[in-house]
Amino acid sequence: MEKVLLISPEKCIGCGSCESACSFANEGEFRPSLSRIQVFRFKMGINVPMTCLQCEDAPCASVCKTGALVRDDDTGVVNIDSEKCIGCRMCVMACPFGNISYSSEKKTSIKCDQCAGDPQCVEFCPTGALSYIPAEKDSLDKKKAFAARFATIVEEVEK
Amino acid sequence: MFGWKGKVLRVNLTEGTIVTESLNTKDAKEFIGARGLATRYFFKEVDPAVDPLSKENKLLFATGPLTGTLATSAGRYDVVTKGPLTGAIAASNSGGFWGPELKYAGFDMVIFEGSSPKPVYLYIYNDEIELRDASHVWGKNTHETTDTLMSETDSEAKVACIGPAGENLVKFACIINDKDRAAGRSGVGAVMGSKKLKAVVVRGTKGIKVADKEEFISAVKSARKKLKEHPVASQGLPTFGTNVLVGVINSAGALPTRNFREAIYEGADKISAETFNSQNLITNKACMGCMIGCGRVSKSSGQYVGEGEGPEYETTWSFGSQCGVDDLDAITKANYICNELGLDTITMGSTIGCAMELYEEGLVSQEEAGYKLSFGNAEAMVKLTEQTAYRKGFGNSLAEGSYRLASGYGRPDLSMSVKKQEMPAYDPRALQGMGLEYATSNRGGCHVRGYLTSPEVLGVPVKLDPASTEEKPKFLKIFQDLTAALDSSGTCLFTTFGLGGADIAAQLAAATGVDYSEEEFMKAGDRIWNLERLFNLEAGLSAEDDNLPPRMFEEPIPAGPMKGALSKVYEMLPEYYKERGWDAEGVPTSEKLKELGLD
Amino acid sequence: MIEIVIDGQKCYVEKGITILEAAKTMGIRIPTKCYHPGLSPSGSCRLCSVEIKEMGRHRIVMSCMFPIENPGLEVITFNERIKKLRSFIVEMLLLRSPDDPSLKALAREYGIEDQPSHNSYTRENKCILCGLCISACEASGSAALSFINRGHEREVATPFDEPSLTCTGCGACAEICPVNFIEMEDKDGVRFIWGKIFALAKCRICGKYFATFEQLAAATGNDEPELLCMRCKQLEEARIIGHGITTG
Repeated sequence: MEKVLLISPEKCIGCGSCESACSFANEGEFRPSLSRIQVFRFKMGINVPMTCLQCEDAPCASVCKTGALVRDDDTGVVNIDSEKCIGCRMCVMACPFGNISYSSEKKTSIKCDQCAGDPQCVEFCPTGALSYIPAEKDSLDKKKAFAARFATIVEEVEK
Repeated sequence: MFGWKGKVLRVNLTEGTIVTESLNTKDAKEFIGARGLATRYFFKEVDPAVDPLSKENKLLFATGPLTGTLATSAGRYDVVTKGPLTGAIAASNSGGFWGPELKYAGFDMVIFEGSSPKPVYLYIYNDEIELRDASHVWGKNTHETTDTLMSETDSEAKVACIGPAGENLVKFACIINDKDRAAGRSGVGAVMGSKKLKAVVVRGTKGIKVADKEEFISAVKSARKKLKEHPVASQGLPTFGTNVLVGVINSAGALPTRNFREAIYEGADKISAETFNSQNLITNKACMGCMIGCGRVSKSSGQYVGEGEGPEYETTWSFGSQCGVDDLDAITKANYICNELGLDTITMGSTIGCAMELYEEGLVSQEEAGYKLSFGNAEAMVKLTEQTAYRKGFGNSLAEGSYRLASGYGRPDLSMSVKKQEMPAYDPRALQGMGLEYATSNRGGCHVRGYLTSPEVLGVPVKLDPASTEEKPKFLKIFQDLTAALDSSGTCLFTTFGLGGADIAAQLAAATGVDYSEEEFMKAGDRIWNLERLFNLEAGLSAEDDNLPPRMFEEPIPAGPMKGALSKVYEMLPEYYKERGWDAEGVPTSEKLKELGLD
Repeated sequence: MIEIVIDGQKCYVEKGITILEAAKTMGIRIPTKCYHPGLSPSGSCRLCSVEIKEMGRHRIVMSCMFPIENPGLEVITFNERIKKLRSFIVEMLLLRSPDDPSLKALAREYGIEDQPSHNSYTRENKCILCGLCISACEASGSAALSFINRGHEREVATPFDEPSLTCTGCGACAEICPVNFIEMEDKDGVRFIWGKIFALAKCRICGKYFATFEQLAAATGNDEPELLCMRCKQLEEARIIGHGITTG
């Protein structure tokens, strides 16, 4: 069953628990610099968590020449097989949202894989700014609304 | 290491040298981190008789082993030094993101020694550390300084800095990090200014490991669940911030008003959390890893137009009822000025309140003050706040804090302070336990060393009669020890509304791999408390300083539910000393020191 | 699935996978130097050699390149013969790159002492000729690298040892090199690699140099891409979203 990691930035208080939880789950230590989700804090108490949107037609996966990035059609998640990454960083340049990064230390690109169905950022989000829900019409609409402003950019890329 | 990073940075500002040392692990285990561990280092290295603003004083920025982890509200660090306001040990605690960033850069603590010949700032990028010239930001406010230094170092760097108040050695200047979080009390910012250290800029990309991952996450989850289920932590504080107390404390008849002449404020509704939420609040905001999010992102309007953060309860009180001001825009604006110029809001507001009484007593003239300084003059209050940071006009007198100000007019009794530091927003005549807390706090008038308001007013964890002295010494010792240990862990005091020592100890033990039972954890708090006491005794303080202003004993509360009340601190002190294992002079006995390993 | 035997253990593997891949699924480690899961195997280092028994015949094969096609295959990943062979290979590799930590670890594992010849005064660390950079470059579509010369003179180079026309300066070769031999230097907004000089794109927000223009064009299919580093791209997206939020 496909699920959606939904971001509701208006509920975010900017605590960064998601970054801590993500790095702990994926790196075994508290290290926000390697978190797959990043919180951006603006004036007037506006906070926006950013992570991979798991694009259906993912630019990162389409530029990946070694099969390190592949979208799983069942879960809808673009997974990364770090062993296959050769460090060309094409995916980093190709993602129109900046949601995939490269770690020189780990010699691989890093991105959100929704913790294989149990996203830890959602588990530790105190306000419900992050939720993980079945991909039904409602939630997909919300995800689209979140990404609505990206739409134009995506189209340009796809052209 | 686990929890701790195991490294201390030592910066000699006189010589311009930077050395990395290994953390003293024995001390780390016994004094945990942050407040406790930094005090241990400080006491070992600095003569307690030191002049706080001399180059012989040192300034320590220290995190705890939980700082920067997912533990409950673990975004905190302490600044430890000898306070120029009090002449006692100062440990000012702040949240935000600066403390965690220092851990991510790989350090538990930074020790500043000596004094720089010219303004400098320290830039830490993981292992690359340098002292840089700060002449271009000297004189700039904390927000400008933060923006400038971030743009010339790293856009993700975190900045702790002083404003003009610290540069001008205002006795209660604070250190501001992340623009609006303050290591507020006792004048730690003035010590930084005396060292010509404008800022500490940190960027860290490393990680913090814990000893037992599964155990740690399970302890964190269980503590987080408790907080989520606690109404104060999950609803009260996020929705109203600490301002919720304006109404609560006023109804209890314990809201100090017009320099503690009264204890209920007729304007309380106008400065209440509800009013603030409807006219000033924009949203709430969290420190690193905090699920409470008590921070207030706000705006002020009219003649006091502005944007920023705060006020929280103590500030609403100090610029509000303490000065007889019921204009929330003025209070909020005064808070912004304190954040931007680097002033402690509690001492600032209370000192203005004291000046207002001096004015009304005819001791301060309009010419001298520059204003008709009657209680309630919001405009004068806001302008004098700014003048204080620059030591302009009457601000130069206010910059010394209320004790020195009032003493200058022969009326030290009008300073509402303990150990020369202003008491916060709870009338000690109304809340006997809080009175004992003020009198015995190691850093002078302070509410966050043993917050007995919690049982005395809020009924957490049990309800105690505020008017009674019974059991207060015993409770206070427990609260003080818990707070000392908790501050040292790097987590936030506000979690204790929903958590106990066992919850923090469990997280600490799993993170560090050190077997902290609840008992050991509390004992560490006791140890830290005694160490602070020993420092103060050697610094020349004594049992005589465990006191309150004479008004608390001589002038009964004139009206309200606690009408007629006076403080009974003297009745409680002997029992308190006994609870602590101190002699009648308030000196820790040799048996007690032996028990704590402090002999 | 077909049944085979690896180190005496029976197992079922998907037809067509290599012995190396099959061993990995069973938790058996075979040392490799030129193998990368994301690239086609080249078999240049031979370190992954194993012995197989097929239809009664014993022989040595390179596990990274040997596809399992027939049931009944028997694989021995380690015995005296293999040890001797690998030891020899490690010794040869060490001669080329005596200070590489991963090779030194292998040497310890295979009981090879640090011989005086490896410690000569002139010792330098050279390319071990594994060819991973060549494969990575080929996979990336640039194919700017190949082996040139033979024997002692053999080395990796761009065509005619001239700055390559197809190289985008992505640096994958340097990232993948197992002995950190390939030099790539970013300095003052310029990248030097394989004798070619690339101007680096400067992020229009943070001012950091973050990629070559060639790489950006190749990844985005756009000759005039937005000059934003990954972090600032994300920041800008967040800002756009944040702009639409009213708090309170």
